[in-house]
Amino acid sequence: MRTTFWGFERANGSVGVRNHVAVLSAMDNANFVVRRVCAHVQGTVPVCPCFGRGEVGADLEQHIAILAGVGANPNVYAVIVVSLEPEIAERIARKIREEGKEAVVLSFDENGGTVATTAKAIQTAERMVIAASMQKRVEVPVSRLLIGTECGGSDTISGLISNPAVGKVVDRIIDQGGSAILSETTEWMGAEEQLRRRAATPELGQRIADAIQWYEDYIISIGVDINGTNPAPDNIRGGLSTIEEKALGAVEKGGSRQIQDLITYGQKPAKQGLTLLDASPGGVENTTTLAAAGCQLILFSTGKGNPIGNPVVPTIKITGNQRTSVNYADNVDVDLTKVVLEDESLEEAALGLYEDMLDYAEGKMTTAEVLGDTEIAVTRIGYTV
Amino acid sequence: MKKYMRIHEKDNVAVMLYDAKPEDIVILGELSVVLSEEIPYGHKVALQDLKKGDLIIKYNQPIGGARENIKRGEWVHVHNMTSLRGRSAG
Repeated sequence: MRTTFWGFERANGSVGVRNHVAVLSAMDNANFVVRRVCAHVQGTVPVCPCFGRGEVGADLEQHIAILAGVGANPNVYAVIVVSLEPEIAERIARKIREEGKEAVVLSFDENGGTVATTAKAIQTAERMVIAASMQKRVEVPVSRLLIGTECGGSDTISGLISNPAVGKVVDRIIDQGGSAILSETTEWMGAEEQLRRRAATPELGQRIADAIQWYEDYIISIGVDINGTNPAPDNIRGGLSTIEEKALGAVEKGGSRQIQDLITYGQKPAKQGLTLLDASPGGVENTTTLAAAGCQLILFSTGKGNPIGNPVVPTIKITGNQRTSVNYADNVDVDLTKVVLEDESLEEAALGLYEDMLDYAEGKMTTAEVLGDTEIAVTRIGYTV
Repeated sequence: MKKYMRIHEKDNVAVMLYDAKPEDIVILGELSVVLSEEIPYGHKVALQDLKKGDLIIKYNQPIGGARENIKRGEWVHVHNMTSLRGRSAG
């Protein structure tokens, strides 16, 4: 079993598994410039949000925190922030620079519209990519990894095979001094008892139960029945009947070790080991949350199939569903169907997944990276004004 | 090849890992259950008779309640069970 991997060391002490130049829109009105720049410059990745203009209060603050978090992710070498106006872009860039990373702001206001801004961004990106290409990987221990976990397009097979296999990989990383995040609070609903039992303190256990209760109260307060909403129709076709059933399978991704902390949306883990992150469960939304929290890799368990990846964080799609492994093969990275088809043990499957994960850490490309099936989304609270 | 899985011995449902037909048999230790209807890949079979309101147990935890009486060997899904969470009607 490997206990090290080769990664890119950063000024703030973190280690990246990629060396991306990220071209980031501060707001949706700059997305087309970002896509144009990335189409032109090899080695760049586009980070394009919806909204960002007219946001106020907590919405604006989390928009800035999440975009800055994605830009500051260890997998990013340097960042260009493109924007209609420079002020919000500067707030994002400042947070990225605080992590010791170059972040250049290019606004239409200051550069004379989209064509001139595109040209300037291409020149800047060209310089950054050449500099990034000079950086060499160094060997570091697995303890430097922070792994994000996600399940999307879940079915009952996710809860039987891919989620428990991810959980065993998480345990293996934590036992070596590394860290992992379990998020998607709605999908803890019904698993309170075991999460409470695993919490480092009774107070933390109560905070976890309260976070779940908040979502349950919210669902009821807006007059929505969670039946038919979560699980979603594709989850139901995959055999999942209720949120409790989905949740008890979903929390398997978090493995079996003690839960050290519960953090909120936009925060980064402060403790080694397993951290719970209180955030919404949409696939694009949650992988963005995990990227902003500083995860270098995302283990994405899928049952019925889900193509999405994050632009800066390799999103490793894992399935134990033997139909998905065939019918959705173009979007699957790790096939665990031997557990059913050849009676392979979950332990063996998890060890294989761990080794595969380290291959991806050292540069093997995921299907989503190759196909460019990447997207981000920042959680919204209220209206723009 | 595994044809079905029960996660915990106290569970009263198991997951079918193929498209099962009536008369197919699930054997788990001492327990032998004859399916009374088709159960699709990934869907659940009742391992014992359940009364309306009984808890459906999987992962040794309640995953919902029976909306009607369910006989052993029957398909258990949204048509005959329901979540006990996030529902304004209780």
